[in-house]
Amino acid sequence: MNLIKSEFRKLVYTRSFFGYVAGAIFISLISAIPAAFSINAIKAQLPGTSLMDPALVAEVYGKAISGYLFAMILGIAIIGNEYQNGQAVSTFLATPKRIKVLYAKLVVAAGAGIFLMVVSTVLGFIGAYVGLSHYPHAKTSATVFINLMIASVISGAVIAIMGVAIGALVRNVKIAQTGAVIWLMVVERLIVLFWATGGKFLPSGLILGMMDINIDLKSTKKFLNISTADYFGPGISIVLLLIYAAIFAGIGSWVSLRRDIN
Amino acid sequence: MSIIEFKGLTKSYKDLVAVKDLTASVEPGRITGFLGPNGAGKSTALKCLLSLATPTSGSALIRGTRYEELSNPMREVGAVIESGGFNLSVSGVKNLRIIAAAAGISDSRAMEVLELVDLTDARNKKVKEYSLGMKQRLSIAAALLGEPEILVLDEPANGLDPIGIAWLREFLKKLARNGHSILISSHQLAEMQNTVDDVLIIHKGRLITQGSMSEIIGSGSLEEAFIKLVEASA
Repeated sequence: MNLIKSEFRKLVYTRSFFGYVAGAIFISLISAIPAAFSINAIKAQLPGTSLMDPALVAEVYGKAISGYLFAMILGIAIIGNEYQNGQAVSTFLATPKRIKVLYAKLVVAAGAGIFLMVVSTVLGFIGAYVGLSHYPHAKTSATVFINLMIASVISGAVIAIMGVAIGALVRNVKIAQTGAVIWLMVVERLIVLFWATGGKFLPSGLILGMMDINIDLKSTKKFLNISTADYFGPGISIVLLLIYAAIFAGIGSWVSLRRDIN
Repeated sequence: MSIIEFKGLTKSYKDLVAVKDLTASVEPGRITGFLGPNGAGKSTALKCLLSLATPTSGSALIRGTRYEELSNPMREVGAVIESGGFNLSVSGVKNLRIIAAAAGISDSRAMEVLELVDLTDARNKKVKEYSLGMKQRLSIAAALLGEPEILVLDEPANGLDPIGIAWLREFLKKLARNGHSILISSHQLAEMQNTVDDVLIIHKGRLITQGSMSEIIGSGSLEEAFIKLVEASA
């Protein structure tokens, strides 16, 4: 508990944590609020698109989970900044058993990731609700909110833990964070969009799977497709994300134990 | 029994041998100077002693035990390492509270050690606003958090002005009078001559000599003895 208290203090004593939460809220809002309008706008290119369809309304609400990128950036910062600014020295002098330090960091990162995702998802959900309020016929079921919250909790914890492992692996925080942004925002999204068979195994595909939204609207312009037909269901998605968390936590432990502190 | 022992310690980084077969000891209740030119391997040897680096072979022990195996290391050993170890965007007192929490030490102790090093007034300033001397004093405050009997200080006088150096000298002597054992690395020889009881000199990762100050310097100065010993070992 001492180490968790210490790691928690490291997190809340710095302003950057609140910056990451603000960033996640911003991304969730700018993804969720315009989603209703953009779906309405592509009716001509994507036959069958209608906010009368509860699944498409759920897809709009699903945009509220877009802030997970910041859970990754937060996880990287939790360990990477410490090595970069030399704070790791005092940490390991106080607790030379590094595995205990890493476990404390993983617990705090998971908790902070959940907090960040729950706050940003709830606010994004409200943003989506505001956007959809312009379309009185747009209705969906209450399970959408429940699925979204489960997805936000699990993705917040898993993605932050992955961030900690990446922060342990890549010594330069800026490079690690930039790489994570490019991977999650560009590479993974393109794979998920154009190669769902493989994309469904990636964290973004699994997060989509957790939301359990069933849509299959295909366009001649592939980037306009809205299809979740190829993704896993919530159960398998959760299990696979937890396996990701375990693998990345293992990698982080292995790297931390072998690394000399400079 | 020696309070600190290096037993055939070797540490290599790929092709570079930073410390080679170092065997030396530090006696209790004394200030021991760990001296050597820049790059001699002092910091590397201390990092191995404090389990911040893993020895390639041999060992560095505190009371016969590796640092990482001490049951409550901060209560037995206080350390100042060159790189500082503070988050510069956080105040001095908050940095100490972070370290105190990790070691299970009460928050009130942070204020006590800040007072010991004359930093009470600056406690709420961010560390990046501290002068170099203030940062060094904060490092010493962190080392004292657990009220340890042994202190390991890596270049604590680096960058200090004459007033800061005089403060450090008196502070260390006061700690030694109170029964602390101190291992202090430095290349500021004139200052070390006024501060330490025993001397360990290393060069290119190897021990050159070990003994009391009077044995090492004879009737000359530490600087003269040091240069002679280093040149003879080259």
